[in-house]
Order: sequence, then C-alpha cells, then structure tokens
Amino acid sequence: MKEEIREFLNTGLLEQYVLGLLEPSESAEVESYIQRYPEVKKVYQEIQDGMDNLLRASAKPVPAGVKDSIMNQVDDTPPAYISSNPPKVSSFNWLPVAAGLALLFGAFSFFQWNNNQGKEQEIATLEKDFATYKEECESRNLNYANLQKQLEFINHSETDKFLLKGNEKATDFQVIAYWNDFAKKSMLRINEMPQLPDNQCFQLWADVDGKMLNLGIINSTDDLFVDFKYLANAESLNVTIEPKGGSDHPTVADLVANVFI
Amino acid sequence: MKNLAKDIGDRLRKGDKVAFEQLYDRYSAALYGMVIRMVKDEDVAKDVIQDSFIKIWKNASKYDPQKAKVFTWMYQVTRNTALDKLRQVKNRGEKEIQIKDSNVYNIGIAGINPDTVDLPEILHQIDEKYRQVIGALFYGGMTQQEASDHLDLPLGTVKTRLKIGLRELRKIFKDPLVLTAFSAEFANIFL
Repeated sequence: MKEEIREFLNTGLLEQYVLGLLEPSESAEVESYIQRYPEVKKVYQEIQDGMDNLLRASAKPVPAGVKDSIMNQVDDTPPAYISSNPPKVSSFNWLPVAAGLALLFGAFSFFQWNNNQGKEQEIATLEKDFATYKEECESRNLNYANLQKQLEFINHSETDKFLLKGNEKATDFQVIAYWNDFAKKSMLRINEMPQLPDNQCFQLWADVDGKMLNLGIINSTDDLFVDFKYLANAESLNVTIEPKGGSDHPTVADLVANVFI
Repeated sequence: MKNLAKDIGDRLRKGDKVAFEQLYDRYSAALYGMVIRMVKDEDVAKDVIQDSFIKIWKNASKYDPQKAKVFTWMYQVTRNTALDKLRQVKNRGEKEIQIKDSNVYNIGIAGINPDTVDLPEILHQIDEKYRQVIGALFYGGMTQQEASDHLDLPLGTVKTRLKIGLRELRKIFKDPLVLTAFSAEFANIFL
C-alpha cells in the first residue's frame, strides 16, 4: 500500500466522512481519495458496512402509526424533481440563474481568450510556414532559371557537344562537354563517373598550342551540369587520373579519355 | 444484500414509492434506535423519523449512489434532522422556562448527554475509551469538538478513537457468531 494512502487512512477522515462530520472542503478531499484509490474505496465500504451493522444492532421498533403517517404524506408529496406543479414566479430563485449566466459569460470569455490565443499561435505557425515555402519557391525559381540558361546554352547553335568516354583505365567514365567559342563558355554534363581511390581524382585538360592546360578537377559530387573553364584555341579535351588535389602537368600515362574539338 | 440495497437506492432516485416503502421497512428501526438514544423522547423521536423520511423522499433525486450507500445517506439525513430538532427543542424549552414550567418535550441539553445514553449491547464489546467516543458521536448527537470538550480529550484523540473504535467494531461484526446472532435479533424486529 502506498505511503500516501496509509497516511490518509490514519487521519481518520474517512470515518468522519461516513458520519457526516466533515466540512465541505474536507469531504471533497475524502471523495477525491475514494475515487482515486481502490484501497481507500474498499475501507470506505467497510466503514459504511460497520456503521450499518452498528445501527442495526441498536435498532428499536418504530412506534405504530409513524409509517402510515409518512406514507400518507408521501402520497401527497411527490419528489421535487417529478413535481407536476408549475413553478410560481414569485418564488423563483434567480440566484442560480444569475450564477449560471455569470459562469456562462466567464466560460465564454475564457473560450474567446483561449480561442484568440490559439488563433495567434496558428497565425504565427502559418507565417513561419509561409516564409519557408516562399524561400523554397525562390530557390526552385533560381534553379529553374539556371536550368533554363543551361538548356539555352546546350541548345545554342554555336555550342558543340563532345563525348568524353573512358578507356580501359576507366570504362565507366562518361562525360559530355559542351563547348561554345562564340560565347567563350564551356559546360560539362557528368553522366557516369567510376569511384577512384581516395588519393586520386579525374582532371580535365585542354590542348592549346601543343600545351596541356588545366581546366579543373571533375568531382563525382558535382551537379548534373557544371560550368567549366573555357580556353580559346583549344584543340582537344583530355581527362587524366591525377593525385588528389590535381596536378600542374597531366600524367599522360593515366589518360582516361580525350576528344578533338 | 448489497445489490438489493443498490437497486432500491436507484429506484428511490427515480421516485419509486415501493422502493421508498421497502427502505422504510429495512432501515427505519435502525435509524429509530439511533434517534431515540439521541433525543430520549418517543414523541420527538417519532417526529424526527417522520421528518427524516419525508426529506429522504423529497430529496431522493439528490442521492448519489457513487458517493455513499443508501443507508449511509439516510443515516446522515436522519442524524442532521435529529440535531436540528434537538436545537429547536432546546431553544423553545429555554424560552418557555423563562415564562413558566414547560411540559413540551421533556429533554433539553440533557438529551444529548452521552453519559446517559443507552448504548447498544454490541458497543460494550469494545474498550470503554472507544465506546465513549462512538457513543458521543453516534448516539449523543455531538460534533467532534463537543465530544472533545465533554470527554475532556484533545480533538485529535477523539478522531483517533473514532477511527480505532469503528475498526474494532468491524472486527466484531466479522465474527460469524456475532453476525448470526445479530441477524436473528434484527429479523425479530420485523416479525
């Protein structure tokens, strides 16, 4: 048994409650315990049974005539809640009505206040959601604009398209280079790129006037279309496998792909 | 027995007059036994029982079976009616004594003296200190504070003795021999 229950039972409040000796506030406390704890309810039932037994043990026959008198009055006096008599206006008690209206008004005010609080929270949430959606929308619009530009670029009449397909050193390598001498711009589309050891990378070179010039490292994590460095007078594009971070000069022995432009 | 009492309580709440009469037959003697010990006057006791049962009938819809057994509720109504009657008689008696000797209800303050209460036999089976407190509260019509003053005991002691006394009685009533004897005695009342 919980300590709280044991302490409560030791107060003797339960016995006093059965005898009707408590103040309303104390009665409310006892009723709360009875409702919450089956152990208290059981003791409460036992005390009631005990009182029932005690009073029966001290029973005395009621003098004759009392029952008849009571039953006669009962015949003339139906219980209050089934009374058929209409209430008299003069005896109508407005206090409960006023109290009820006050309670109703209070409840309504609280409801309104509570409702306003809820609305404010809802508006704040909606504003936050709106800001998020707006940001997302702007981001999508930007992406869409970029894609439009890329599409325009690769569909431009002066843009040439070259396939850089890997040799036996990287058979899965497949990148498309878009080259536009008019716009002086280049772009790569990475279709496939094999995984290299952590200490290696793919690097793109342009052959300009017999010299291999660095155009940059191709990362597998790059977007589908990647802007790349443009060099005028490039004769070919070449991809080599280089140490991580790239090299100043290509390792020709590790050439993976090349295409003349 | 318990289900029957619950059933009668539910029917009473609905204004069932037969249930009310059954309750009277079942409990009026137990309540009268308490009341006559409190007021010590047959006429007053009869008035108290009559007023109490009329209140029980009129307020039947207020009875909440979730809160108390129907007999507990009836006991509380009757006890309060008896206390009201005692106060009323006492006030009337004091006024009339100032004018002339009164033969209206020969009770007054002595009527709630637990020392003169004819306690039921069963109470003599528990220790006197518990019997005194239960006698004062059940049959003397006293509040706990009045019992504390009258018995010259701290209020806390009165509360503790009430608790222990009722538990002692519970033990006695759990004895099958006592229950059998008691049931036979109780049954005779209605024969």
